[in-house]
Amino acid sequence: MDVRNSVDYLDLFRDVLRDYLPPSGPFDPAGRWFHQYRLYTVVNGDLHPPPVRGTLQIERVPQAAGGAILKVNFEKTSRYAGVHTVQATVVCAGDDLSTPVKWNSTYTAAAPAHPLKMSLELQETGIARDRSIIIKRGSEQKRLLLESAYTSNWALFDAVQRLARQGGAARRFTLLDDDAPKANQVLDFYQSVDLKDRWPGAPTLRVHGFLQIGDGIPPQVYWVDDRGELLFLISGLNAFVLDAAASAGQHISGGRS
Amino acid sequence: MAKQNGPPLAPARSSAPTRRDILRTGAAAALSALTTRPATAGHKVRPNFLFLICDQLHIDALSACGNPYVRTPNLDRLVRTGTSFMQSHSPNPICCPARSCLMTGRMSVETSVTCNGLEQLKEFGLPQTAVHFNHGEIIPSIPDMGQWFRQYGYETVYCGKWHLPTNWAPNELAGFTVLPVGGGEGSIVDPFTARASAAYLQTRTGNDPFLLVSSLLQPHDICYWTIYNEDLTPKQLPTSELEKLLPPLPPNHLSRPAAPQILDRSIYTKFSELQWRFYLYSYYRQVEMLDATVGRILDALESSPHADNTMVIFTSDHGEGAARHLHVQKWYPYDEALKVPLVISSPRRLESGYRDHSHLVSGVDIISTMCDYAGVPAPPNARGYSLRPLLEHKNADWRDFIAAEVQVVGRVIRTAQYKYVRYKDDPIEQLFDMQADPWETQNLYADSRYASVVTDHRKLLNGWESKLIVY
Repeated sequence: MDVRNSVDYLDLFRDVLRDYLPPSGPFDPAGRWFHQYRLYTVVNGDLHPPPVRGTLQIERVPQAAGGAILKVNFEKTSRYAGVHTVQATVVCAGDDLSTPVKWNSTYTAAAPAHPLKMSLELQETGIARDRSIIIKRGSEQKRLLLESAYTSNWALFDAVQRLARQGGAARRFTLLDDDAPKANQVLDFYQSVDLKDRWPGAPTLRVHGFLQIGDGIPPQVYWVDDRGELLFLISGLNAFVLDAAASAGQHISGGRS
Repeated sequence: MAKQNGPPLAPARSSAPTRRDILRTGAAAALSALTTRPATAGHKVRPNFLFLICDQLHIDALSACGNPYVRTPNLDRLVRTGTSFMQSHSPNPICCPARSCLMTGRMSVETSVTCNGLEQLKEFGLPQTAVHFNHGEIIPSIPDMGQWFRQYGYETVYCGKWHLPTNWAPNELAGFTVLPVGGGEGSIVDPFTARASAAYLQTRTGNDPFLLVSSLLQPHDICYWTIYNEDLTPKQLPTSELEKLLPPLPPNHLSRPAAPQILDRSIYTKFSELQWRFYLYSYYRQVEMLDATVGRILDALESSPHADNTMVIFTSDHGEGAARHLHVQKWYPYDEALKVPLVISSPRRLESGYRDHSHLVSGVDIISTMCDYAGVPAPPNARGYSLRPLLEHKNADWRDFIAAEVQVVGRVIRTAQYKYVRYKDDPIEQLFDMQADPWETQNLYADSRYASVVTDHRKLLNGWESKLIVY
């Protein structure tokens, strides 16, 4: 089988990517950075262009002892009702997978003018200890045994920026999709693409894809530029696209650094 | 042939509220449902209900059912702790009609929700006059599950996909307080539905028993792969690692038994074999997303004060084509679309890990079962049976057939051995021997040896339809 052809879904989001304005200037994947992504979702015929359904902000703060803290702010405006947010702080190890060792997150839902009287806010914490992860959510606590390497969906936004494109072995791990363990993940480099060769008028931009397959996810591709900066994650119907202008010089609280 | 012409028509007991009662109290109750109210006498023995509805899950798409190409540890957990009905059928394998049946216990021709929208009639080449249609809503004279249980003191809460007619739950429903999560795509919305449901289970303060409906969108996202986005199904694979993971095609993949014209129009012919297998692979990943979401809700329930007294009911509105008969999605009377999982778990009440392979059950049975356990009458003219005798292994004079509707004018009768399909004004009918030919590859309708079987099934269908009330 010819493995050169891709499952990258780039064409699905061509109306967004064809006019994409890439970031410029230096970028250090191991340094401090702030990224803001627009989330596009393709459903119900919304293709050209697909609508923006949310915003993901991630800030990486390196730690002197190694590893980093990721601050995450994910806001999703669902169709028809309300705004959902997940705010998280994730302490990651300094390894290839940015393995999360400790985190806390808050989920909230807000629907203006909704008559609901109850609170829709949920606190979650997780900590790795003794080859397991203890997750507490509200009054619930569960322990996940770790039988293999693991990482989380947020941590991968960081980790893929430092992966070797050629010659590195495929990474195999369990994915923590929030708190849900999804086993048998494989992440590997598979191809580079020049966008200008893809569509007439597209920017001169070479991107390098890392393909992830595994339980509970559609095949998805992380696209980084020559400097390693993660520009796009295309996952089934969803695409996270780096908003370079909104990312420049910002940090998670919204101010300029 | 049959002992009776389908389930009994359950008469309303004298204590049942009237439609006027429901309308009078519904709106006010929606605003006050989550405030603390005095406990209803005897409420402590009435179970709570967590009704989990998913969208487009085929009955075979669970690892607990022996499928090695999908991993569903959380749904398997539910199967291990509950009773699984392996002959469970959707009353109408299309989203809106099926949901109207689940919510009312009535057949879709009675609720008036017979299709996903009038534009669908055009798509199928059906005249608009083929159906009475209340703008996609259940006609007002039929109470839905929320309206019914609220009348009997239940706190009724809805979260997720509604699709009657809008595919999200509006901020207000007559019978339910709504947890607002919106709708659209399962990969994004379902985690929010799970969290909102979890928050409710862990923070509710009312004393009344509750009915929480958590209506999840997955694995329905697979629909978009063929409706709009053929780019999602590549002609070649990016990695040989992926090739090793692709499921094989089912034995009836290319089977084309003689069928009514409308079914011949619904096959999907754009995929290569590799694309079909990738489609199946992708479908199972969507199922696993559903599984993770279900796990979050079950975890929240199990760690809540309500774990011991909550009956969990899990089902799907309809199945999925899954490459059988060259099908994607639903819309068909074949088992790929018609058969759905139905698992009922209640650790304090029911046996764990039991599988019922013999009794024919339908989505319209669910509300009757819940009413039975809640100690309240079934809604007037509910078409289903309570599954309680089966769940408790008591001798039951069970039905001999179930009926289903499909694509507005299609009707199905399923008996223990046969499936009979008839479409209005189409000369080709279908008869399958489901024991000898479970993959539905040979239409026996025109075989003279089965003439009496066809006649018997026609009578069953005619008798069934004569009892339905089309408003």
